[in-house]
Amino acid sequence: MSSLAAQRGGADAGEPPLTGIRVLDLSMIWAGPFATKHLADLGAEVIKVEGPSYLDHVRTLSVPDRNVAEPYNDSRYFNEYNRNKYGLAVDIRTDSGRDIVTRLAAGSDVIVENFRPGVIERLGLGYDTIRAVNPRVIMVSLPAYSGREPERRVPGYGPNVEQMSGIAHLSGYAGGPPQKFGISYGDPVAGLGGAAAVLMALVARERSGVGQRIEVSQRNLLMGFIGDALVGHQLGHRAERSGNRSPYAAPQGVYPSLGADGTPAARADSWVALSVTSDAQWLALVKTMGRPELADDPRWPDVPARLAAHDELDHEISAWTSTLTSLDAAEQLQRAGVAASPVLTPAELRDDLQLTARGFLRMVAHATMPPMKLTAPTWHFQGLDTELRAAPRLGEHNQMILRNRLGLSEQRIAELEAAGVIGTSPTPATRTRSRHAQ
Amino acid sequence: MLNDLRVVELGDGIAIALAARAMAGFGADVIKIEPPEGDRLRRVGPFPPGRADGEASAAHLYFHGGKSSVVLDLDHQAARTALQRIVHSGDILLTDLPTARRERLRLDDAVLAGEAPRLSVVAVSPYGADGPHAGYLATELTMIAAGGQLSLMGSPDREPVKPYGDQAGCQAALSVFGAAMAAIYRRGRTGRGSSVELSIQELQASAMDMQGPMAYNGDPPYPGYGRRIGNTTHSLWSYYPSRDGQVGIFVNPANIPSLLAALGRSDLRDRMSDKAFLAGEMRDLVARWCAERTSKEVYAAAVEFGAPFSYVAGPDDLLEDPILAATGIWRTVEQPGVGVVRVPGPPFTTDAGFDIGPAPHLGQHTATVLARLAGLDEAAIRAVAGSGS
Repeated sequence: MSSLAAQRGGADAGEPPLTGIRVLDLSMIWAGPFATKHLADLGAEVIKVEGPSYLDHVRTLSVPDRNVAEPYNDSRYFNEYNRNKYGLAVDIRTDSGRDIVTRLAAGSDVIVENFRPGVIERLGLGYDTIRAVNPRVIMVSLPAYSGREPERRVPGYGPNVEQMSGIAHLSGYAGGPPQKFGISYGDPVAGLGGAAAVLMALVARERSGVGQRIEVSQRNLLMGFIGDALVGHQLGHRAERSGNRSPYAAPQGVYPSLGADGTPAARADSWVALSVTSDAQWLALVKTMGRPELADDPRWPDVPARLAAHDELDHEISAWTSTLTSLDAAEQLQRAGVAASPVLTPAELRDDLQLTARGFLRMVAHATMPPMKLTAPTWHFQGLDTELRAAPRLGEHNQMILRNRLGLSEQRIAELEAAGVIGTSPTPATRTRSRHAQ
Repeated sequence: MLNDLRVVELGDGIAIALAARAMAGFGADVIKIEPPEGDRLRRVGPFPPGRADGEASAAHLYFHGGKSSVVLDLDHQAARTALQRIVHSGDILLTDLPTARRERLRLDDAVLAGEAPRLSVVAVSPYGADGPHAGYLATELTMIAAGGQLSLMGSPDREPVKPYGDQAGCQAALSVFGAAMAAIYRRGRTGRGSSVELSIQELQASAMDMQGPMAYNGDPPYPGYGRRIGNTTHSLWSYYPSRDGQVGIFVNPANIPSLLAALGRSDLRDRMSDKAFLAGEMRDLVARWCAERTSKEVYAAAVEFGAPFSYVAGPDDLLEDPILAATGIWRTVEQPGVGVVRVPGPPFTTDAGFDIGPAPHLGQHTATVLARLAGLDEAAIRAVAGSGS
């Protein structure tokens, strides 16, 4: 029997930390699912709620083969961030569907949602409603901004949040415009914040006996990542975008390198990052470059001088890195005692020696696809290992959840299926929530 | 909320510093161990004009707010012994010291499991505690390069560009915080502490949006998604210049009605699946609409029409925004010798309070902590403190 029937309370040292904790995951896209992924990795029983007519939008993205019978179950994106969860597809627009979700909520330790502010209340699943029947419940909302007027009316995606948090203003090439991140940065940050918040609330609940409501504002959380700049600004320092440079490491930068297939550096789009944080490292760098005479150049004796002449140094360093692959350049520099790394692309992460050695990717069986690679849990508890299961197919655990958690009879479950309240395939009028919608 | 927890911070990285700051704000007793020359963040700034001392570094003031500072010169046995006592008295040790250094300090997992069985350890490092790159040097630039996120940021015709500050470390801080809470929760059930190990490279590589899971399985990336794409993916997912800055128009299909309403062009609804129109006329229309407005006017339209528009906010925008202030983000700190500053408060809003005190002067709490937690008398305190002077 699955953990849906797991005993509650009590634990031994060999159990994952959240064994027996029940999480109702009403979130979609990335931020919320990333939060609950971490809870599932820690052993919580996470039920992901979708509807037969209301799928998580990411089920439609990164599908390797759209010509299969159930492409919505094969999304790489969905499988990565929803592994180890249980799937319930229930139409919450129906009275019966809402009743099911409400009853599940009443029996949950944690509810995670990332609807736009106010929607959860309109669904009858607001914190006050659930708390009235389950005072131990912890409810986490992950809005882009906050639940306050007027910004609660503004939807926000990752790049919006980057802009409004101030981090985009501070990021970018020297003299250039503000820079957008390459990933939807607010989402994983909020997801991690959400997981951390749940865990702190669980600790607090052990003492108080009651749960609480938590709001993880993506914008506010990101502001905490530029707190030093905000303090500096108030003290009179005006931060300027400085690209890859640093006031206390010079030279520091990202330099062109040969492609792994020998493509010249000018065309390879292959890069190596390096940082020199001491004069000893400066000596090590120029020796590694085969240019020891640069160490004696009176123009560059220390960090301030090297900062002032950084463009010239960049030229010298680029000439050297352009003769090597990024892996070779980084390896040589690390051996010499200089911090360096290839700028690893997603494909290069897959084959990275360090990640591979630590078992970062695991092969996991899937019902309708060949085995796929998922990332291993990243919080390594000594003595514990969490097995990975593929993300649930749409409505995969409908029966198990309704039977084991709510005690519904087989006949009642069949009636709900026949009425379309629950299902395992999208109905013709299926909608999806937009990517990163809040 | 964390009032009965004692946290010892041993190391100099942002990941443990920011996590420990959050714990301090939520009420934990956080003891930061510093070397005699002071923590690294005391030297990185930014500094106010005319100052360059360790008590005025904004990084120190922000990341170390609310903590106690204990200076120990760990080259001396008496200081190492005092450190062990302080750590043993704690509930959580946050550290980014290499494993070998922890072993020399007798603060490795094996020793602590025997001598402080209720203590939990969260150890974070750039590449993890084992593997061929475990001993590699790292900085905020090389860490975000090794984790993959740098490869996707910047203009396609230039080198990748890093985001502000140590974002790899800041992301990791949330995992440090979460892992520590998981360990404390687990202790409540088992009676024993846990040891948790984190690799900053892995933490980033597990947060690579859609591109990661696709690449890890050998799938080709979507056009435009495998490499840097600058500030524009397409006309409705892009930065645009406003009259006085930069704004963002990031619109998904569900937001099309609100976009068109804001533009006053609901008549274009039927053309929104025409790719040529979107890439041409629509781009020009949106660009013109943005260019005719200030950034704040664009955002006002976002509020009025419920559209996902935004603007590039600078520090003054944030500090002066009354709506933002009403969310409870700010805490006011009176920093001795520096002045009054406002700092971002809790990472998330809970029922609990979040009170963040000033950052400590170097060694401000050395004597009191050594007496309270290491059980040293005045002479012994002078000896330990003297070893660091």
